Amino acid sequence: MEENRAKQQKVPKRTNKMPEDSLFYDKLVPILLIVLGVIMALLILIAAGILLGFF
Amino acid sequence: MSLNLVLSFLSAFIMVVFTIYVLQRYFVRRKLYFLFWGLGLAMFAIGSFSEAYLALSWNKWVFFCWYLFGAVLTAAWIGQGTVYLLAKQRTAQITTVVLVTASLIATILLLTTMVDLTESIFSVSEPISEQYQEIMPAIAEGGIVRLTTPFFNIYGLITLVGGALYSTYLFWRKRILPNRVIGNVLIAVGALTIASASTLTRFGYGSYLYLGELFAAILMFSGFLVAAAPGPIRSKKDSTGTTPV
Repeated sequence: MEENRAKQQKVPKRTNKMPEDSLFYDKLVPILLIVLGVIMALLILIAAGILLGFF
Repeated sequence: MSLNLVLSFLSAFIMVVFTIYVLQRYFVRRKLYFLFWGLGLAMFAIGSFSEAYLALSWNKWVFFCWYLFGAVLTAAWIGQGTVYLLAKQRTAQITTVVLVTASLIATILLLTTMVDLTESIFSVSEPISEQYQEIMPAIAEGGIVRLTTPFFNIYGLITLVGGALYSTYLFWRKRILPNRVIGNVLIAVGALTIASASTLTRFGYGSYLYLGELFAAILMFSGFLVAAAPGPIRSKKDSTGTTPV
């Protein structure tokens, strides 16, 4: 049991959390999500317009 | 050797490597989203190779492959992989049946269009993306297959781009797996790049398609690799929260 504990302490754990107070994750990512969502919506509207014969 | 030829071959090469990478993961993990992503990426590669061929010479069956796989089917089939990843099994199965049926209909419609191609218009001095509208008959004159492209592209936009953005939002909101946030953003940007280039092609600006395909290939493959990568190893200091990762 002590050997297992020692092994666990030696193997570093992988972190899967975002860093605290990160400009990129706090500000840029939500802005990117909105901008990319708007672009996606525009392209869908254009494709729909082509389908309906507006273009 | 023209720039478009080089760009097309580069895109095709990247997509072949990407396809093999994804299909390998399917054979190991047996998840259907890997299979559909792999099939969609293979279609992208076929479209790019066909494009490269058409930069050198004309062959109407290569044109068939370029239009069917490059213009019509790719986005929807890659997006279908995302449906398997994010939606319920039943929804994925139903949409797959619809997609396969629609794909068969589009294939038959394109086959019927092949006899009406104006092949004499073709010239190697222009990209195929700037000539195809003159080569194919108008919608009212037998080119009804051209109406199927917006359907597939809308579906591909919603599933592939929408799915990537939704995944990004989920991980961002939970503040976990930052690599998946970045990876999905890259995938979304890549997919929007090719979608934008395809839209410009429809309006007569076909010269952007080749560069758009290359950027899409690079961004989507990068995004996939980043999203699939394991998280960074936490040092002893990081575990106490005193040092940023």
